[in-house]
Amino acid sequence: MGVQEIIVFAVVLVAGIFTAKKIARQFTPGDGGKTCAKCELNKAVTEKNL
Amino acid sequence: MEEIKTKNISADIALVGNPNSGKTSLFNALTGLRQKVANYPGVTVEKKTGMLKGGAGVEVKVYDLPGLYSLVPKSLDDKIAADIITGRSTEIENLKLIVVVADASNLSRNLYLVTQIIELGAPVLLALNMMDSAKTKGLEIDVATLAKELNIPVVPLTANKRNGSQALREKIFELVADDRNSFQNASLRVDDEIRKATAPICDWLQANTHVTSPASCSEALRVLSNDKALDTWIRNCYEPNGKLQTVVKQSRENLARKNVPWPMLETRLRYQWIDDICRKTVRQIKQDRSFSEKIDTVLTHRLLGPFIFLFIFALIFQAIFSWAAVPMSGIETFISWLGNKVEAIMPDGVLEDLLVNGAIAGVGAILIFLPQIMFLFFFLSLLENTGYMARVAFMMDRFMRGAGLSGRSVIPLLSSFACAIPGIMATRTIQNSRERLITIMIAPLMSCSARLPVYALMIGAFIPSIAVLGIFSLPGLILLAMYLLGIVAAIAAAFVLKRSKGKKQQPSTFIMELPPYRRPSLHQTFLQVYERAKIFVTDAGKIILAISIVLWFLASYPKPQADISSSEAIKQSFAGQLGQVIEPVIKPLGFDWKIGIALITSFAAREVLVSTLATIYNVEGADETSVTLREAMRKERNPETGKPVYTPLVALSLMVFFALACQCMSTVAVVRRETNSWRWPFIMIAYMTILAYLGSLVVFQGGRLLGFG
Repeated sequence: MGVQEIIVFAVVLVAGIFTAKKIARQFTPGDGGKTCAKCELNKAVTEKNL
Repeated sequence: MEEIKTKNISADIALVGNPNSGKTSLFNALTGLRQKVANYPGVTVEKKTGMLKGGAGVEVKVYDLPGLYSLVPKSLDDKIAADIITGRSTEIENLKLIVVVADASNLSRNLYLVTQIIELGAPVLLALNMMDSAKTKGLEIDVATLAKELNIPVVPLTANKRNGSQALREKIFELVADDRNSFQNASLRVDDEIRKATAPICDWLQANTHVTSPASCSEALRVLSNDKALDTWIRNCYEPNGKLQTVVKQSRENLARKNVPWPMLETRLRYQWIDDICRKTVRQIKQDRSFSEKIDTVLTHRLLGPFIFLFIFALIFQAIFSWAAVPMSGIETFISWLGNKVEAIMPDGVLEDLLVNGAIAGVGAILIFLPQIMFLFFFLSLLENTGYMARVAFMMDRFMRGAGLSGRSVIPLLSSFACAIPGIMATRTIQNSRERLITIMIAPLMSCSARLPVYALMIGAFIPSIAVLGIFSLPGLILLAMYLLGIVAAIAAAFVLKRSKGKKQQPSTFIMELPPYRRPSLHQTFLQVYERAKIFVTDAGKIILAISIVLWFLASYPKPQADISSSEAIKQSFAGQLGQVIEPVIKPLGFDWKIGIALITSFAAREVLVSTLATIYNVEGADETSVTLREAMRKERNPETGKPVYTPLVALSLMVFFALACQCMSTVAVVRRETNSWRWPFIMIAYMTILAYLGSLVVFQGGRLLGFG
């Protein structure tokens, strides 16, 4: 494997990690779910009365 | 001011006021930030913060709170603001001053909240905004008398033109430096009977909650005359043993015995006071039918209104195609030049291949559509800031009621034209939780700006530019049809969801005060377009670049052992193998494996479909002369039949799929957050994917049966 290939694989790896982290971050509420906990809708969903 | 500058003061202030009173315009003027503003209520649904500019030695943090009409919260966004103002929430720890923003052209209605807030005994400053609109309506306001009546400082201004914002800034610095603990604001005068009835509630609140006098007496009257206000205290866990309810019940019975009706008591008393203030401070110097009323007889006409709406949007889409053509061509030429330049400079090899066919081809293919996106936001911003979007909400109310929702759902849905995420957040203004959930579920059906590159690519490549009715063209009308398809599908989905099994709730009422038409601020419009373009290039750009690189790898590896053609090599790559697994499922829709791969990657962001196809075609054609994505798609042949892979029918089928599918990870994430469950995002993905598949199938197979394609 040449130098070029090593650089390419490293770049692809970084891009892959960035994409995976970006996806994971989307599903992590930034405020620890505090805003949602106050939400009437959430209460209704939790109480299964919708 | 000198004394203030030498002190080191740190304080928090809150901007509060009725919806559409110009709080965010004022917030932007004070902080130099660029939060979204529009001429309709409900744009701000959560608090925003910024630092007040221009105070040496004084650090003032400004909080822009969602609009509310009264301190009795009716929806989630109301509650955020009401809890902070009344002190039920301690989210703003160092609240030194409440700046109440009131629309001067509608003083009576705005004073309702103002008088409620000044009774809390906190330092209050009244920012009398939209003085220009009041003047246009022929109103003259005696600011000095108003300040005397309310016993608080009043600053007149027009925030969106930055008139008076400096005076307000100076007044804020002066007031935050004021060390007094009590303020003698004016308050509602009530007779002895009412005072006696509220006294036990007032005592209870003082003894059992953090509310102190004089706020407790004002709150007691609210709790006495409004069940919703009582509920707010009970829900905030101040009611462990039903004591407050008993005290309130007793007081209400005492009043009833003396023939004083308690329901709406606070409203009646407050409006008596407000009428008295307005008699002393507001003078109508001329009164004729306003400009807005005259225009509205045409624009919101029952029959003409919807046609005018369609006409305006048809013109916008027409303009998006025609006006953006020159800058798009410029970007296309630049990307192609860049690719060729890098190819010429770098030695042949995988690194050059990655840069040219992965990064530049992928990101470049999507950057070409930036001018169209900017034009879309320019027109949407103009319509929002003039006040026309509020009229659209009013007209749509009729159709929404047919589907079982109300006009209250329209503003979130209109916001979703830009992006479903702020649209879904804006559903917090809907009181009825079931209606809110349905609006969340249908918001992603509205065609967002991320779909525009997909539509524009397909229309630009396969829909002929034929003139229609002289002023329109077929590409513009097809684009309009895609947006209408989303609206119709959303209304139909709401109709079905509303009739699904579930607990019946009181339907929401929709009362909307139509704001007067205003000349849009070009400064604000260009700022909004700039912000959107920046988000598109930086936020979406990063993920597009990352996915383009990963996809280049998947389309280039494993390297073929034997000397085979590039189209055969890409078929044997990881991406090719995955695409061929999907192909049988999507073949009935007219899609090949390459589109299949693009459908998967575009779940990260819809625009990625374009960059994915660009990367695949560039990897495949790496040995040939560089061609644009449109040309490559037009040239693409089915290796088995020799027929073109893309026809106008396939393009239409793909656009319909994209109009109806939930191809957006961020939307799924925000639905999960807002509903606090995985159930609803999964239901949303499932129903939208089925809808998209069926819609696309009907278009493609139906078109073939009719002899197209």
